[in-house]
This record gives sequence, C-alpha cells and structure tokens, in this order.
Amino acid sequence: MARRLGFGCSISDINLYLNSSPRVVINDILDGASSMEVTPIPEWGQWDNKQFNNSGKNKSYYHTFWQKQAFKDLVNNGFRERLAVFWSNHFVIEYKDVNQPAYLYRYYALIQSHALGNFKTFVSEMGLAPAMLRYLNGYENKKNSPNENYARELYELFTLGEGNGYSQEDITETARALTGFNRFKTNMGIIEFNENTFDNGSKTIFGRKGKWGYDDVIDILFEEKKDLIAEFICTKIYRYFVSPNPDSSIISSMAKTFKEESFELKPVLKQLFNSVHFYDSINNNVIIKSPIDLMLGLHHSLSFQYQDNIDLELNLRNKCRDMGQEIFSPVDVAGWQRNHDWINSETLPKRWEFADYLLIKYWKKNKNQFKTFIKALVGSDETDVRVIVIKLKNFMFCPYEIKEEEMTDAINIFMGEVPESYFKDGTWSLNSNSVPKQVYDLIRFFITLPEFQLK
Amino acid sequence: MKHRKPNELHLKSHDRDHAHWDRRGFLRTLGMAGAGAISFGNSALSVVESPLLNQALSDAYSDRILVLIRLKGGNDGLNTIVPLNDFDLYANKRPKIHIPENKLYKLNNDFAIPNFMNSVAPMWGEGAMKVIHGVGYENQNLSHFKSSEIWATTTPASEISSGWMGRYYEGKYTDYMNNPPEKPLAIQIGGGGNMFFDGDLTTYSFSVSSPQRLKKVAENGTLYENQNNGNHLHGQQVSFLREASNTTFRYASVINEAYESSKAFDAYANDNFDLQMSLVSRFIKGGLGTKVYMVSLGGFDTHANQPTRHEALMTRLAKAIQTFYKDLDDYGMADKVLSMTFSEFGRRVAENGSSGTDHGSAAPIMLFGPALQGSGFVGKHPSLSALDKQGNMASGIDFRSVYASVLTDWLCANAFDVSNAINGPSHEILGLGLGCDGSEKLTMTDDPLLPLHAAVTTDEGISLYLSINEYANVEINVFDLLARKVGNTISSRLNSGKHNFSLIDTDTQSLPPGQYFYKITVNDYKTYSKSFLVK
Repeated sequence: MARRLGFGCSISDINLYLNSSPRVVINDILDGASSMEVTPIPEWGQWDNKQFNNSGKNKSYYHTFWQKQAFKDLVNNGFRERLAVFWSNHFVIEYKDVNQPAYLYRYYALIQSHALGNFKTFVSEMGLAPAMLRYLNGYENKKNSPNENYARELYELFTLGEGNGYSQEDITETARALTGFNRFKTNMGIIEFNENTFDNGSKTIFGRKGKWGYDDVIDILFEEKKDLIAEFICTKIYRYFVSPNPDSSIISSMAKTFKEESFELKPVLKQLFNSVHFYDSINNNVIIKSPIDLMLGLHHSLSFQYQDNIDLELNLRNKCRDMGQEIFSPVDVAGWQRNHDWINSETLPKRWEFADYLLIKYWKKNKNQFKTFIKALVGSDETDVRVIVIKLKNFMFCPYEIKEEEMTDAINIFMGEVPESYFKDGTWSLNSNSVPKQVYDLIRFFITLPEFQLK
Repeated sequence: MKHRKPNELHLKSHDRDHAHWDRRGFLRTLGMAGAGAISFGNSALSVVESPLLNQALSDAYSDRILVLIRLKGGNDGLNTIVPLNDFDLYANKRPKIHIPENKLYKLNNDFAIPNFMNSVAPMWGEGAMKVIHGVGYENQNLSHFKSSEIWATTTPASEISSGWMGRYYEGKYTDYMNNPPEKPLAIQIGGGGNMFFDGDLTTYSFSVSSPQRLKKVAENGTLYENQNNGNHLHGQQVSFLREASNTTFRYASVINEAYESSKAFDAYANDNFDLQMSLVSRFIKGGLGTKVYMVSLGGFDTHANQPTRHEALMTRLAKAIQTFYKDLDDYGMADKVLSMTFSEFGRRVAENGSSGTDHGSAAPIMLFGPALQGSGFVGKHPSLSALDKQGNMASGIDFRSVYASVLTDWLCANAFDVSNAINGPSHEILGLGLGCDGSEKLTMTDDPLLPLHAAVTTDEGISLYLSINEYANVEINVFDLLARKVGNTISSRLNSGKHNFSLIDTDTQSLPPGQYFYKITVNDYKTYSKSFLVK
C-alpha cells in the first residue's frame, strides 16, 4: 500500500507500518505530506532577467540545478513529491519555453504548497503564476488583442476536460476576462496587473453576463461547473493512484466529497486510500511505472548506498529524461499520457539498462549491502533457496505469481555458480561469500521481467 | 557507393526466364514509355496482360517507402504556402506576422513559400514537391489533443482507439500476433505518443532513436511466453508488456544490422529533427525493408512571437528534407521515398495581439519526393474571406482523402484495406501523380481543367485513368479508326481527383486488335483525345 502511495517501500517502511492499521498509516502519510515545508527558496528564487544575466552562469545551469533539487526532494519526501509530479503533469509548463529559473522555482513552490490543499485556490494561483502566464501566453493576453491559449487550456486541461461543458464562445469571452496581467515590473521579473490592458467590457461566460475579471472567471467556473470539475479531477487522481480503468462508483463518491469539502484535496485522497476498493487485489499491479516511478521506486525500496563521486540526482534526472520523462518538461501542454505511452521499443531497453545501472552503482559502492539486505528481508537463517527467491520476488513485485518458467530461471540464477550439493549439505547459508553476487544477479534478472514495469 | 546491391530475394521470386531483367531497368522502361503505354521489347503495347508482367509491376511497387512528418502543435499553413493571389487580404489580416513580398520565393503566380524555406525550392523546380491545399475536416476541433486524435483515428468518436495505419496493418496481417513479419512494418523515430499505428490488438510500429542500444538487446534479450495472462486488467497489462518486450527483441537485430551496415551522411545538421531524418535514411539505405516511417518536429503552437519561431522551424524542416533527399539520391533511393507533412490543424487567418496566431483549421499538406513526377498544387486554396465564426478557413479536402490516396496510390493498398483503415466520410482519391498501375505516369499541369489521362489494360478490358484538379462535367467516348463509336460512353460530373473508367469490357465488347481513340470533353467545350492499341 505504501508502495502505491510513494515510491516503493523499503524494509524499514515495512517494519514501521507492519503493526499499524492501514487507516493510521494513510493518515500518517497524508498528514505528514500536508504539513511538510516547501523546499527553501534558492538565492536566485526572485531574480529577474538582468540578475541572471549578470550572474556569470547561463540559465540552463539554474534549470538543471532545480531539476536536481526536485529529484533530491523526490528521494527524501516520498508521497508529497509524488503528488507534486502528478500536479506538474496536470498544470503543465515546459521550463525551456518559460526560460526563467525563478519562475520555475515559484511554480514548484506553488505546487508543493497546494498539492494537498484547496483545488480552487490552486487553480486561481496557478493562472497567475508567472511561469504559467508565460507558458500559455496569459502575459500576451490583452484588451484589443486577446490570446485565447490559457482560457482554452483552463477548461480543456485544468478543470473540465476536452469539449466538456464549454463552447468556443466561452473561451473567447473568458480570454477577455483574463486580460491585464501584462506588465513586467522589471524584465522577466514580477508580472503585474495593468488596468490599461484589461478589457473591462461586458462578457458572457457560461451564460452569465457581467464585466468579469480574473477572480470572477474562477468563481463562475467553480459555481457553474462544480459537478464537471469534481468528476474530472477525481477521475484523474483515481487513474494516477489506482488504475487506468476508472471505476465510476468510487469516483462519484470521491466527487461528492470533493464538492462537499469545497474542493479540498486531502479529504478526497483520504477517502480513496481508505476505501476497500483501493485494496482490492484487482487493482494490484495494473499501473505501468513512469520512468520516475521506476528509478525512484527501485532506489527507495532497496535503500542502498550509491557509488560516491557520482551525482545521483543528475543521473536520475538524465536517465528519466532519456526514458521520456524530463521533469518540468512534459511532451506537451496535456502532459504525459502515461500508461502504454511510456512503453515502446525505444524506452523499454532503456528501462532495462537504467534500472541495471542503479544496481551496478550500488554494487560498486559496497557489494555487502546486498547480503545485509537479503538477511533483513528473509531472516539470516533461511536456507531454502525457493523461499528466498519467492520472498525477494514478492518484495520486488507487489506479491503476485510470476510464471513457473521464470521462477525456474530465477532459482537457477540465484544458485548461480554455487555447487548444487552445497545447498543440500548445509555448506551454503546467507553468510556465504557468494551471497552478495547471488542476490545482485537475481535482482538484475527480476528488473528485466516485463512485469517489473507494473506497480 | 552509388548503387545499392540488387535485392536477391526479389530476384528469386521471379520466373527464371526473366531473371535477367532487373527491376530498375524495367521501371526505366516504364518511365520511358510514358502515359500508361509500355514499351516492351520491339513492340509498342498499351496493354499489360501477362500475369508475369503484373507480378513484375507489383514488385516494382513493393519497395516504396512513406515518411510521415508530423508538425506538432498546429502549423501555420498561411505562412507556409503564402497566397499571392490574395496577398493584400492576407497581409491585412496579419499586419505583424505576414511574410513580406520581398521575402518570398514564388512557386507560381498564385503561391509562394517564404525565403527561409528556400532549401526545398530546387525540389519544386525538379518536380519533386506537391502541395495539397486546404486540408482539414468538417467541424474542426480546436484542441491539439482531440484534433491529433482525430487525425490518427480518422473519427471524432472517442471510443475508437485505433489509428488508420494500425487498422490498415491489422487488416493486412491478420495473423500478426502469431506470425509477425520479419521486418517491422512501421518505425517511429523517438517516442510514440500518437495512435497512428495502434490497432485493436497491438501497435504495429517499432519506436527507435538509439539503434546502437539495440545491439545489446539483440544479444541478450529473451522472448517471453505470452499466453494465459488472464482477462483482468493486470493480465492485459502483462500481455501488453510481454508483447512489447518480444517485439523489441524480435526486431532488435534487423534494425541494428540495417543501421550498422549503412553509412552516415555528414550533411545533416546536429539537431534532433535532422537526427530523426538521418536515422530513417540509414534504415532505408541499410535495406531494412520497413515501408512506413514517422518522424516529428514540435513547437508549431505559435500563439506568440510567431515570426522568429516559425522561421526557425520551417528553416530546419526545409533543410532537413533537402538533405534527406540528397542523401537518398546518392544511393539511388530517392524515387522510392515519398514524404508527407501534416499537422493537427492550421492557424487562424487573423493574427492575435501577441505576434502569433490562435488555433485554426484547414492547412496545406506538403508532399516531397521525385516519385511525384511533377510539382504542383492539388485542390483549391481555401478562401481567406469566407470564414467561420472563429475566423477560420473552410477545408476543401478532407484529410481522409489524402490518407486514402497515399494508401491506394503509393502503398498500393486495395480498396478493401483502405476502407478498413479509414473511418468517417467517404473519401476520394486525389490526383497526386502517384499510382500502382501505370497511372502515376500522368503528369501534372497548371490548368485545373486539363485532364491527365492514360489507357491501361486490366483483366476486364481497357481502363482509362483520368485526373482533373477541379469539379467538371466530363464526357468520354471511344472510337475506332473509322470514327465509329465503340466501347462505353461515360458522361459524368466529376470531383477533382483521380478517376478510373472502363472504356472497353473484354467480356461483352470484343474488338479486333488495332488502334482506337478515346475523346474526353470537359465542360462541353474542351476536348482531348488520344489513341491506344488493342492487341
């Protein structure tokens, strides 16, 4: 369960939660995540263009720096950052298009602080985040020269869903109401509201006529379309955490809570994670891991030391990018479509190779950690090879049966070079010198199985 | 190395008596004869009757390759193919972002490309570029995602999740899952992310952008047993992943070999799109045998600052296409490769306030390749003044007709496979100068009413291939040398595009061998006639 909330589950997580009820664990995780501080602002977090230009480093330095920070947070913060990845794939920006590292920081902090907060506030603040004003051209949306890009995506992608409850006229009129955020205080610094570029004429949005401005748009949207918003967002959350096939009954009860709680996110998440449905085995191993899930999950669940002098965060950022998930740079404004889109004959060999890469780095750091790990997992006294292999399999894959053919392969791989008689005559134990290599080889085998891509 | 080695498999498939023909020589012969008649040995034939000859013909078409170039984000058609014939209106609607007259390269008196696309001007000059005007569909959806989906599935119905190429392959390779072909049917460079090649059962394309990596897969990969995974979602996901692993392993070595056995061409620029084109070329040159490729170039969603951004994109695109054909030409492969650009929609006629354009509708499709045998325009440019409520142009040609035409006349798909592939409104076959039966020898003209025509023999008799660029009344009569009407009389209102009529049905109209004429009358006043032989 913790595996499905965060990124995998380590032996220490398991021990920690083993004696608690799921409800306690869930509440622990959610309350912990919502009270977590935002990542501290970097020195350059409020710089404008001039300050970046005078800093002696180009912007890509700061962008990479912050991508690495995000991976550091992912490694350290678990569930909250997994939600942050969800939201950065919902309210999409592409950092290269925005091209202002301080805007990226503010966007990131906004996501962290609202990840379990109020969705309406989240939407409202996101539309004014300078990264978003740049990315979807709100900054260029002026009286007399409206740009409808943000208005369209506000409805299509952020709140209602494609073609769901709005017309082209609503978009055009909404774009007019969203005008005015067009003035830099300093070049690429703070973006201010400018009375003169705001269209204060009358607009009709969802049938309501008035001289609407920014806040009115959000109010009208959340008043007129609350059912559609609740359904759309709850479906998206469900698909992210539970299954690509939405279940309408649980979604409608989540949506009901969402509306009753004035679009607070935490009660909805609590409801979902505490539902019987969430634990239904039918929803086990049905989600295809994202590259971040794959790498972070493996890294967190094993919790091994990584080879020194290697920049872990940079590696994670690069490998995930190469598998199709560069953080803060989804494929397009609709975000990564996940599920089968993650997998093709290009990305699959990379998944095998990069997961293996992590294992190699652990191995190079200290091969004995493989022995310590297996002893902690199965008990130091275990000598039944089949039991050891099954326990490791259950740990690596949320428990489910792999095919007998591959089970046989797994056992053979685990037995490796060790003479067969050693397993019978008691020569071999988990203290044997061959154990680190045996465990290493078995994990390397497990990560190549197609099923390893599921969680 | 100028010429690739002869295709041994192909030679084997021929009748021994004719093994000394090489296909290329045969095609040259076809080309020399022109207008559908075929010069064969010492006798002039306008009939293709021997099954062997038909076999040779279909072989001659079997190594054709289609490269689909996706311009992601909605390419601005009006700043790609600039309407000189309505230039003032165009410039008025786009005061900041129109391409000024002194920065245009004229394709003809009516249309131009921006100077920054000059790299493709030589291809236009050499007859290797066609432009299909105003492509789109009824009730244009202005969402990138929905519209991309419609271009892939060919229908707005969201319950359809298979793409047109996927359905085409699914119909053709009904035993694909048990008996997959030796070569990948289609290759997407880089990630997938679109549904073009998705069938109901599986995806019929292989994604690759780092073929070097495949070497290791080929050496160490495993084929997984993929039965009895169960019907619940978990089982379906396992099936999907096992199939993806198997596909990867299955094709890893052929792809890696094709890549390793071809040489890099050094004129490509060091950017992602050029890299994609250079990979396609290496697979083609390495003899991979895959027939459909897809590459993509992103960044066309030019809501703001369009002039700089669009110029950069179109410069890259045009240069990469020029380099690609230069590369293929050095290997004698250029005439086997047709490239086609497409985008989910065009952009609004009027610029917005941010030196950009919002989502629009109809836009041109560009085709490249010497196989087109003549540059020109297909269809009519949409009006810049008759706009819909949003200020978007009406499309004249449905994109499904473009697909159907390419499938039929380039990949030589039969009508049944085409109808499998394409959902939605009935499609017409456009006159692109392509074909699979000799009709591709029809050359293009600038006169929209001038029909292009050729008589070809089929199993049933003599057919007339006819192509016009504008809706017209057409009457066709057949005469013998004494000017007596024989055969069929055809009288019809024809849409622009390619048509096929039976002139003589062998079953019912047995005619003595000799010379005959057909006469085409267009809109009751223009006439064209030509003789043909019945053997």
